[in-house]
Amino acid sequence: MRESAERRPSATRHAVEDGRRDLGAEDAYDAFFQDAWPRLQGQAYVLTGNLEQAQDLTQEALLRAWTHWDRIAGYEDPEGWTRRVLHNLCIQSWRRAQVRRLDDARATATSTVSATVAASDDHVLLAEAMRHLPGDQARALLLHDGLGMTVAETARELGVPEGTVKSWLSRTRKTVAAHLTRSVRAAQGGGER
Amino acid sequence: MTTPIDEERVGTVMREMLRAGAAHRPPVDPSELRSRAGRTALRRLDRKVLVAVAAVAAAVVTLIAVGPLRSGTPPAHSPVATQPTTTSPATSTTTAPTTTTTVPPAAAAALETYVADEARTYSAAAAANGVTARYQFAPFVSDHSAPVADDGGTVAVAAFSYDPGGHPVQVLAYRAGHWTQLAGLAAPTDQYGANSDPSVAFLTQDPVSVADVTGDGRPDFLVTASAADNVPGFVVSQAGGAWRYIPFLGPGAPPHTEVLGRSPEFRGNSLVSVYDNCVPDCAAGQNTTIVWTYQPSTGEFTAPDPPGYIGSTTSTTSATSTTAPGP
Repeated sequence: MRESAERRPSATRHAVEDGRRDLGAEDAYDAFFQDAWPRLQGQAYVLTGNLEQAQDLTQEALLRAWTHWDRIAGYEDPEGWTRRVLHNLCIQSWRRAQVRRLDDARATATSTVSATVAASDDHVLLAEAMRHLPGDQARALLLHDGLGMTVAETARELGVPEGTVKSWLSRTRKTVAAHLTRSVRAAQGGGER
Repeated sequence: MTTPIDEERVGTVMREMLRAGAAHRPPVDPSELRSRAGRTALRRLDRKVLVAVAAVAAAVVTLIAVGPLRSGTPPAHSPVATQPTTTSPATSTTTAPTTTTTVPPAAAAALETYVADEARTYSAAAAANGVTARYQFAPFVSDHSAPVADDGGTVAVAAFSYDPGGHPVQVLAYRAGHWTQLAGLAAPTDQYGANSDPSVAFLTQDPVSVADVTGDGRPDFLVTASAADNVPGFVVSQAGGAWRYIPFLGPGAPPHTEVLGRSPEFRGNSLVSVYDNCVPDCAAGQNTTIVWTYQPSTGEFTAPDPPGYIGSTTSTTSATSTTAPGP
């Protein structure tokens, strides 16, 4: 398995365990917040391509984590719970953007991803491609290729068989790569995306 | 065609984005976020008190409501939850099933606005996608419950005839003056195993009912739809830990059915439905009221077979009658 610096759930667990032993719930949550924020915001950025939106959604997910803290603090991996909430929030934001575009006669090929704050073209393109994937498949790609989870861990988190994850990964990599390649070739050819 | 190099690039760009996103410091302190959530140690203490009160209330309601129901004379009205209409803000305040926490006064009006906005968006999407013409639902229906207190917060359930994202039923939470989605549920599975889109297209225009029918001290919601000769419904609940539909197993409800036929309703803190023993083509069937009981061990509602029940034996709690084999 490829190691990833982005994934350090054990640090979160230790913070929570320490919190249960020595600190109050608020201190444990604060430690969890500080530890998990960078990773969660990074994932939100991959899924939205927009740093401001990523910040908002990460805040919302962590606010929900605090709302349910007395329950999730006892979980083996509170960050896993928060990550699921965050991914769902990101996917909901895709849906809402998609519906708005359907609802709006002014809809253009330009998505909200293009409003990215100081993002590179690659970032914009990748986030755009992720938005066109079904939600669970986008999550599978992020968990495996981005966070470095194994197929088994990804399958467990998504609640699907490992074979399904493998199939999704193969398909989504091709789809996303094709999107990136097509866009780059179009840009090199001077055409519009 | 893509090459392996292209596919490798996906992971490379993704990890680059993870690092870029992680590099930005949080714009708020966790303490600020906590205070925003309005959660205090005192409130946790309150919740324990409320849970105790809820347990006593549930026991009392069970004694009052379920006993008479078993003898075939259910009470005529719910003693606990009051139900609003779907359209009038004036009626959109309610009492939570088992708590006394106050629902913010502005929550009802905000919920009306939220649901109306969502309905407008989804309705336009239904028209644009050809769904309106295919299913001929006009007007587009959106139902919702009253805002109810839950776990120190305020929640509600809304259902729409169609959601292009495939989650026409929403569980909502009221925070900081706004309604946000806690969970989105795909259409429920009916007795034919269908989970088709949009299988809640034929929602009634009745409000979503609220009561604690699972006995966990938290609100459960009943959404009703239209059928040929009765009003089926499905229960949205967080019993078991996550928001979901509670499946039914019993007379007229084969395993994994999430839509209960024959006019389910909340009476007090009980879920009841009607069983009609009319085998197809009879002149007139005999109607029996069935009381459904939530089974925490299996996470589903079960009911005993009614007297004279003829059909597949699916009930696991058929303690009061014997079942006859099918014809």
